[in-house]
Amino acid sequence: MSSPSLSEFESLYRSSFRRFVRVAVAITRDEDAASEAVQEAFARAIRGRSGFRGDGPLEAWLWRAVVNEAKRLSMRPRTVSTEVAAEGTANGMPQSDAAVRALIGSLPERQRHAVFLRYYADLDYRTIADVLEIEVGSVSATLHAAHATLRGAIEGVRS
Amino acid sequence: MTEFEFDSSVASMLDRYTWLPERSADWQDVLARSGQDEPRRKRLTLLLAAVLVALLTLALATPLGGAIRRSVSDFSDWLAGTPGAPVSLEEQQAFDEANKKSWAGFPGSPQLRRLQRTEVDGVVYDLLGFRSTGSLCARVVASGEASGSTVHCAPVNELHHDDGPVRVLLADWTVGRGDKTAKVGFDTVHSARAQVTVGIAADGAESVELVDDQGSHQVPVVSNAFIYVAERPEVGQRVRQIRARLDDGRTIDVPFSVAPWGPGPGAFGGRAGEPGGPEKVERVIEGGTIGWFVRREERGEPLDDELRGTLGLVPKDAFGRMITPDPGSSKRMVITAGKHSHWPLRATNEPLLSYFVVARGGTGGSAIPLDDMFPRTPFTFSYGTVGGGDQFATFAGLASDDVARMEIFTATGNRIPVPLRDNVYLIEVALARFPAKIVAYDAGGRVIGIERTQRSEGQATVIGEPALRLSVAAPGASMQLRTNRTKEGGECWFVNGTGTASVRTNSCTPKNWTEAPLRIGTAGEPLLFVYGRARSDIKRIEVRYDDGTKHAFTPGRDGYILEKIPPRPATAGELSEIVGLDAAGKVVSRQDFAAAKESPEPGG
Repeated sequence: MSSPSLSEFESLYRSSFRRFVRVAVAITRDEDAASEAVQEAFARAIRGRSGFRGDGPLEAWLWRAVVNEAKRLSMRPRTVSTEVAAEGTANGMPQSDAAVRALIGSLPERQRHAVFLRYYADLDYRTIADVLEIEVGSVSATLHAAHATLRGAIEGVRS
Repeated sequence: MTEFEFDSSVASMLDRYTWLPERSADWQDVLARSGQDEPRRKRLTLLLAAVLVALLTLALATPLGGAIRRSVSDFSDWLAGTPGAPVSLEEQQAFDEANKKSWAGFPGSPQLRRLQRTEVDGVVYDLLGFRSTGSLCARVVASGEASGSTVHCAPVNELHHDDGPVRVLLADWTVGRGDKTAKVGFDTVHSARAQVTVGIAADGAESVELVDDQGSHQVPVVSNAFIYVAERPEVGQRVRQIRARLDDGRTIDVPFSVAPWGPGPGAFGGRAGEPGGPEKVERVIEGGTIGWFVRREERGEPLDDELRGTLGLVPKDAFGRMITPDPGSSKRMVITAGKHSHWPLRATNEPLLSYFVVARGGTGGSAIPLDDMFPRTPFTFSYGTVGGGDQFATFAGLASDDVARMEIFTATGNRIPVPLRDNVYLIEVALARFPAKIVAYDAGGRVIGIERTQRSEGQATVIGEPALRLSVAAPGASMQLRTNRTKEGGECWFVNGTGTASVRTNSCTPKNWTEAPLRIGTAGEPLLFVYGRARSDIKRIEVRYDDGTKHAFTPGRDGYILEKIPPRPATAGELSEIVGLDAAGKVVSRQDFAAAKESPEPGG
């Protein structure tokens, strides 16, 4: 298996840049850190491309790199909080932006990351498993648990 | 809940948990970090090869391909707020002071940048620019034999909607008074001394070609911006086409909205296409409300005394709040529960909720009954621009508690989330993307409201002498109507009423007249005259009253109407509707006057 070419990296980077950053934002809660995570993850992946074994799609490998880098940066102390103040609400409904942030934020980290990889990155269970380094069955259980929490919140609003 | 509804709800929640990144892709940075940044000569060669491959690929894929290659990253200087050079400390301080004083001040700490200076016909034009959080703005200052200044902005998100290399911010802004005149209807119109068109440009844009009524003009892109000054223009002269020339030799059409001029219905320009998105309301909601406002919760920000005075709020301590739906925008919404002394609301004792968009250049507002805020649709709908030549319309209004989110769909295929906070929505959309449709959804993702912008009937440039002159008189009042043909193949009419029928107005119909077949106005209280135009399929007009009586007449030559209405006893019924009927007596068009009287009038 030969190493992936630079143009393969570039093609994925250009076509999916915003998806990568948005998922990284979900992890870091900071756009600067998220951008940094994507740039650095791609740079590291290019430097280490000879280690790509080709036993999964290149995209999954890159998603794993971005998620890991975003996780690493999210643990870095921040000088400025970019969290939006919780006072505002989208409307008079109880499902305010603040409540939504609290709800998503309250999901266990693995569930939260799995939900973003499923809905934003549009990855299948196999690829999510590769990215999060867990079994495919665990992805299913993780997403099921997250869905149960979210469904309860959504239907609670609707009733 | 279906799986689709659930998925939509989850996607919406994730949207609200995170946000759309403004940062743009930077592949060169990745290469540099990875140690792949090769010597410049080699990189240039590779870049040229890549460009050639891209061009070939796109040319094979679509004939329009070459026009869509530019990416948002080319606006990096603007996104970083660093186009051109910084202004002097004194200029920056003056700008900061003025910004602080405005209720619609630009958020953040915008750093003013000097982009270009040009002198035309004794007037110096300074083009400055800045980024303010969610807006990219250009400021034009004219000084010398004529003077003036204006600021126009594009929302940063606009750069994400397509890959165009140039965005027009302002078209045909008029400076000073020229020496040419033209008779338009009953008015003599003077030309401007100059007209200014301004835009921002991506790194790869070299120059911009503008075509107006005097020909083609090429201006350079300097500091990622262009400025074109039309010297001593004709009356009604307009830039009608703009093209960007890129450093690789390509030429790309730049979509923009021709500045409105002269008579006409005033619908904004745009494309011929239709906006996408939902067509049907899935859940009908009537009688919506704004809970927090009814409960007088202190959402948003308080109103200071000066703003209360400016809005003429009575009593001065009436409940009112300022809401900022989009923290990146300088525009805000004021909502009040009081009355407004010098705001032309219809005299009424009915408790109202009044709302105003606060923007640089003025405020505009409206009102809804406090006890019946959203009788038929769950949001109010209005849109407008600050002034002629502005390239972005502001959609702003109120949404009931039933509305969880809103989106705008445009004829250019964009689907744009609408900032919504505390039941106030506000978003700016490029006129070049019109027509547009705004859609409201409930928390379950169901469509609960759809509104569309008016279809533009295009420009109407009056030519020649009046084709028709009509007049009519009544005791204490008179009215004249004149008609003209237009360069575009349509017709315009002008009305001048005096005495108790005092009115000065105009309207136009396009060459292919499909919409609104009866365009009619009334003058006098009680009703004295009816004026306007009926399409050729309308053979009879009936003025109907709520006591069941009516006055019927036939449209005149070319469908024009200038009718004197017979006087009626003071005890007779009031005007309820005017209808146009075809040869078979079937109603083709109806204008309802009873409903119009029931709702508060817009002001601003």
